[in-house]
Amino acid sequence: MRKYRFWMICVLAVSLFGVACGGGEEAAAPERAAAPEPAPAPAAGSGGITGVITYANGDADTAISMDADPVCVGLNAEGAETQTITGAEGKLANVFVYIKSGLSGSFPVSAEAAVLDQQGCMYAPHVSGVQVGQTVVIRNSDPTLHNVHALPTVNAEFNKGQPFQNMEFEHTFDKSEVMVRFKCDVHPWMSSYMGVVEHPFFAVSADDGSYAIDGVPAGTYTVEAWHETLGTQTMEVTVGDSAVAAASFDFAPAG
Amino acid sequence: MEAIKSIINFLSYPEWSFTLSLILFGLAMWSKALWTKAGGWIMLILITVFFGLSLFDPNFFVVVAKPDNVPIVMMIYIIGFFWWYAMYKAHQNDRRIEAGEPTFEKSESEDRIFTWPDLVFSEFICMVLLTVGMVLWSILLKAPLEEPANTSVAPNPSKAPWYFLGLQEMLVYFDPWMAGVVLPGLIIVGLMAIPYIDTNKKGNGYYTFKERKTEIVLFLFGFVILWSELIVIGTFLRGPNWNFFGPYEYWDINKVEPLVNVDLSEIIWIKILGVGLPGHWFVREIFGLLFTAFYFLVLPVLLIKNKFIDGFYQKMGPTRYYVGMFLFLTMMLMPIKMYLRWFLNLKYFVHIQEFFLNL
Amino acid sequence: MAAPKKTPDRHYDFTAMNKWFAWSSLALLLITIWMVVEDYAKPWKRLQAEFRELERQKLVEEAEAERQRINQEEIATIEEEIRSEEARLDEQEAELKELQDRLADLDDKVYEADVDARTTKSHLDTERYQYDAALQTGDPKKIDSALATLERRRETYGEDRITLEAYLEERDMVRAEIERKMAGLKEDEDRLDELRGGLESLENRVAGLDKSIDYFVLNAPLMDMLEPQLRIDQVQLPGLYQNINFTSVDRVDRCVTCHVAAARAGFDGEGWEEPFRSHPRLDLFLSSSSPHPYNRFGCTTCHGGLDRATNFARAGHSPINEEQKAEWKHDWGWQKQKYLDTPILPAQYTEAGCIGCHAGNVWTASSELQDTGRELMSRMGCFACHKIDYPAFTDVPRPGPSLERVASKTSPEWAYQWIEAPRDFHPTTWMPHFFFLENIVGELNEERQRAEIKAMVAYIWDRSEVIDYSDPPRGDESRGEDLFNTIGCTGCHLNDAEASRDDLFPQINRMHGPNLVRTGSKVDAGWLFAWLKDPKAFNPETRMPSLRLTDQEAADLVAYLMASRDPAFENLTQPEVDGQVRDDLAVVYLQNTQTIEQSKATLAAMSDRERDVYLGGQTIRKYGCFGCHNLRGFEDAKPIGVELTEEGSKPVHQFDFGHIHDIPHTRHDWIKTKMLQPRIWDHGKESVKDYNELYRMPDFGMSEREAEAVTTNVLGFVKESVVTARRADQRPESNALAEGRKLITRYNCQGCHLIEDQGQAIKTAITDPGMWPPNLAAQGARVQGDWLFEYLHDPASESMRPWLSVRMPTFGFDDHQVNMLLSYFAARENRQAFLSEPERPDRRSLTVGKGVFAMLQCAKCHPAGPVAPGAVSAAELAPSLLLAQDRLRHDWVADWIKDPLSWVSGTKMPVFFSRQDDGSYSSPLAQGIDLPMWSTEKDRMLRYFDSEEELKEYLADADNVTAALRDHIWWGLEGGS
Repeated sequence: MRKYRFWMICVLAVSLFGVACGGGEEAAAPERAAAPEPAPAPAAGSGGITGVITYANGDADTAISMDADPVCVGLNAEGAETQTITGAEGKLANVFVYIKSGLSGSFPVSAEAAVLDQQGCMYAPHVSGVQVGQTVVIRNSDPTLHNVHALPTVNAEFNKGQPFQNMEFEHTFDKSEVMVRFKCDVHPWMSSYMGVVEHPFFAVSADDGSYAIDGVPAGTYTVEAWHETLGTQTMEVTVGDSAVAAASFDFAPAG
Repeated sequence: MEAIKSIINFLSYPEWSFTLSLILFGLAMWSKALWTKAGGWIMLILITVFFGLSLFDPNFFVVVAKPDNVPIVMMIYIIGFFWWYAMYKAHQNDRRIEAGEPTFEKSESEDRIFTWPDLVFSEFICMVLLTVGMVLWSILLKAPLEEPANTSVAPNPSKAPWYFLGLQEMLVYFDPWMAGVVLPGLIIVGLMAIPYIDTNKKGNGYYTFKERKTEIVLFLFGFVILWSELIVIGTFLRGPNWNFFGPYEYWDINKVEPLVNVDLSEIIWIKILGVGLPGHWFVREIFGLLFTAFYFLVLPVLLIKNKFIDGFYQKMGPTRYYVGMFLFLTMMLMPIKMYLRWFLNLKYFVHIQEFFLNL
Repeated sequence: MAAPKKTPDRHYDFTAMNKWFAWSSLALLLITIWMVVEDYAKPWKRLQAEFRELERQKLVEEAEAERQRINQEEIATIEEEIRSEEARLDEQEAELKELQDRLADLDDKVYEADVDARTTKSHLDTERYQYDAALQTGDPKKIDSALATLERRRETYGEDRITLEAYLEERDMVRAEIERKMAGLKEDEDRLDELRGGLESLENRVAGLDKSIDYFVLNAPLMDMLEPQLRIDQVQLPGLYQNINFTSVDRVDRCVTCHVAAARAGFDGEGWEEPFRSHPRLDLFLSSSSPHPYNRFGCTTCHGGLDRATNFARAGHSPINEEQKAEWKHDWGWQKQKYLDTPILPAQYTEAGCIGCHAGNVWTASSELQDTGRELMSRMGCFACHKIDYPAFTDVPRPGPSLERVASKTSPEWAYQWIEAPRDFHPTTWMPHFFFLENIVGELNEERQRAEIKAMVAYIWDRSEVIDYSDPPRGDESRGEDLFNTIGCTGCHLNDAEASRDDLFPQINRMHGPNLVRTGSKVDAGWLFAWLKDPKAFNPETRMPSLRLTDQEAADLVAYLMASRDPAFENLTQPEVDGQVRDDLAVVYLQNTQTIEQSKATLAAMSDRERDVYLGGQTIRKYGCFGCHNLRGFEDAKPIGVELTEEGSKPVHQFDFGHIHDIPHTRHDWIKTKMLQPRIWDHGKESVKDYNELYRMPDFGMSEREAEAVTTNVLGFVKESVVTARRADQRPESNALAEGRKLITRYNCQGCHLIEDQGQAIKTAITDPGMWPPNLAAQGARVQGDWLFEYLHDPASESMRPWLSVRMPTFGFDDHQVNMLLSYFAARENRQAFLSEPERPDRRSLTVGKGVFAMLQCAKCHPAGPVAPGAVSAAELAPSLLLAQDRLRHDWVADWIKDPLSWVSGTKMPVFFSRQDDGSYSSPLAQGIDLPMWSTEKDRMLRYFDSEEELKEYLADADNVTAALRDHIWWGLEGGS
């Protein structure tokens, strides 16, 4: 069809301008445009970003009363604590660190599913990250009713009841959003945060406050660290080839 | 500078500019020095300097640089050039005739050249160059097409196409019926009648002034003063609400001019005689009617008493004389009416609303 | 050797002439090329070409991402399979070939047999007719012979059919055989196609956007008449008019010629700038599935502008500010369009475009600024002086309090102070400043203002009824404060001297009633007590509801409110006014109906008090106070302002900008400036105009944002340009929607409730989400009309959420109003307000329902009896299900349980059933039933089922489960508790 139209137009053009057609020499059919040169896939870099999150204030988590649901009380014989300010002395866990900007191209989505478990009437993990399009498996390991109420602002809201032990369902987020909060309406103390980003370069600080992001291509990036009550901090980081850049954050209490 | 501008602004108000142009017209027709090459150059330079300097004035610039108005600037130059050219040739010929030599046209007509290539080739080049000029013009100055007309927002001033602006200017002084129908009709009829009225065979095929002085002066008076000048005024000096603005004045939409026009009947019955207007239209307008009758019927007869005019009468015979005189007097109504308006606020000589007849 | 300069028989020098000719021809050629270029190079072509390139890049990137996504290994495996399959087929080539030959042969035979059969059939038909004809003749011989022929033919036809069918059958067999042999290959190829399909379609689209030869040929100058890719893109919009020369013509929008991506998704991320961005909210606008698809509504219908324009300036783009104007002038040659009545609405006022179609329903969904503006106008009472012929502003009671008994409530001195400067007393009040504004200059005019205010107070007190109130019982201030903050006063009232309207914008519901600060300096305590107990007793038309306060509660509230005082507003006095100034003002009014001498005599006959009262009445008429307040003597007075119904279409030159030149002369700038500085156009004319000629528009103390919201509405009040059928929501019920929404605005339901996703202003005062009054989404589908009727009449009769301290007030609605609200809720959900009685279900459903109720642990949130204190915080509770039968609609309960989130966004009710692609819901209960903890429930249910499979099948169907739950809630709870 395309070829036909092209020739029709050629003939018309030629006759319009009144230029006599030379010999009957057939012009070679126009070559179909070569497939576009694929943009070079962003090489999974060999660099990395590591750091430690510190927090000078030593205030500890507070205890949670689970009286509302006897099942929960039973599951937490030695009591439970909030996971807001947690980590070793002077260190801060549950901080979500990710590359906020500076990356170009797209990155393959991890085939591995992220898991958000509900265990002992608490979410595990309390803070986590996934890629856009990555499968999140949400599981209820408790023998009681939980509901997973996600409260995103850009993604679609959902609120799933999981009345039975070991129920699972899968969800994928289709837009990046830092952070999506999860809560359980039955057990108001339960909450979890999940960072949804376009790329695989994120990490959550461990109990000793450390984190590591691997496979970062060389470049200069803005790295953001997010904490649920202490807010966010950003830092410019330059990652060299096969080099590990340091980006430590200090969430000193506002004084 | 501002002082000069305000003087020019003042002088360009119609009562003064029209008087001034009448005087200048008389001087020009009488002058001989003007119709030489030097005179031509001086005129060209003067006009160009005037436009060139004036363009620095923002108000002047806005009006003159409007794409609609550019042809009128060109018209000024073109009319000036052809006027000068004809008079220049005419004066030269007159001198030759006086010296007993053949006219230019006569001596040139002895030569013979070929149509091709001499004529056609040069015409062809002219055509190409003219086309280039026209295309260039159309590219550089976009046609002033605007949005679809909006009935609630009329452009102010609302102007006719440039070639009708003279007629539109006449509307200021005459009833629309007169200015829009009768006078333009008479102009056309009169122009058609010229060959039948003007029997002076001198000047056929060559330029001359001396041998056709009256005819040329009369025609140029009608064409340059009463037609072209009014177009120029209508284009450049008439602003919002058809108010008059000097060339360097800002077109202020809120300008208000005092305007109380009165009819001849009111002037005579109320102001002079001090009695009220009579009820019947005939009695009321009697003076206007008498004046009109006098102007068109008696005046031509009285004028024959003048020796100069009697010469024409003798040459033309009564019919030609009267038709010619009627057309001439009609033409002269225009300046007469203009002056009466400016100085006496006269609205109409005859104002019979009963028949929609206004003069 | 040079040729002679001039040959004798030539007039011109032809060498020179030839040069002239050469140069002029060249000039003509160049100028022609220039002309073609000038004509061809339209800005929109450049934009389209640019967008094409950008889109191509985007697709290339997407294709790249797709390529990465595709698992190359999987493809390789399939390709390998295809190869081996082909090899296998090659081996059987001879066999396959034979089969295909047979198939071809059979095709021929089938064709032949088919032709034979059809020929025979046609003969048969003819002979059947001939037999009929023979019968008609009645000749037995003929009949017999015809019958014989017919019989023979029938036999032949039967044989033909048998042959044909045999061939057909054989052909099908051969075909199936071939397909069987090729099946493996085809399957592999299909899989490959599927894997590559997305990428291929992307690659095809990229190729379509490549600049191949035909792109250049098709878009070349002169060739672009055929089928250029760069072309003016237009849509015709029947029924949506543009007014041109006395006539309305259908719009023809060409906006997407430059705004190429407006109606397409995916061009809204970073890096996409106008004109290449997707329109925001494609779910609402332009996309084919939205309520405003591009090909039905176009662009200029809402945005304004010249529909047919393909040039930036002509289209009528309106810059949002001077900065943008300068930028546009530079980048796009922007010019003001003098003759275009409807320029594009500047971005901040875009929502004005909604009104043309949506005003009939009072609210415009999703147009926040315009909707806030409408509410502002309702509360400020714009319609009280300016006729605004839209449903939201017609048949609306006066917005201000009645002044018919004001003397019972406060003092004339306070009233004087108040009229002079209302915002000094209540910073958030809607009552505007009429006096001492910017166009009042000079001592004389100031004295005139004082005389006018004093006269108005005199008039109001002269006509006011006085009721004496006894002192209220003693109350406790701190208990009063608790009550104020918890029972719901804060839905409509503030009590905050520092509050500003702008801080609360756009949530203005809490300013529905007056800010109660300084109440102690304003009103009489006895009056306040009586008022709180029963507002309607004092003013039957008031919007203030009764909160059913006990005497003690009312007394506590009075104690609390009266404690708020400000000495600056106590012991006030009215100033002395020059009597002559007052008399001069009064005489002017007298002269309207009397001669100069008569008026002087009339005045002389009046006492001092009478003169004040007379001038007061005239002044009230002058400023139009009666528009907002009930005032004796002005019951039938006509509003004083200009009608605003078509203000948005008023030509710009009809707006009086006075001597102000630094404000752009546009419609929106005039209106907004007027909102912010209502008397500004008198600037420079203050002392030229007569006192009574000065502008009277009062100053509402609007903030920028408020002014913008109001301006958005006024700009939207345009002449009709849309046929009725094309306007929003033309259902028969839409009138019910409009009436309901008016009532909701009037009684400020959104101060407490979330209605149509707006409101619940009280949550700024009550922070615990559990204590918030309910979201009324889906109300019409949720509750029974009978119940709601009773409830709205007497909210005290029911208590669904006993833990709430906020009280639903008694508004004293009449039956008509309640029915309007019922119709409104029903219309919003497309329901009938009333339902017939449901039938009682069978035992099986009830048993399953009871089991499921336990399994889903519904009782964890829905208390079925008194709640143990402290077990769960009140905030986490859900309404008691014991009321369900009386309150809820039977047809709703199951639907709600099935998918609560689709009814009420943000609801705490979890979703137990997941929606499948086909629209059905799956249920998890079939798995849950096997858990040991639910074995009792299982056993009980099994009694009604033949087998475990049957039970599981039953439980796996969400329809069954939700219906059973509904039945249990409806019938089971009642018996069980």
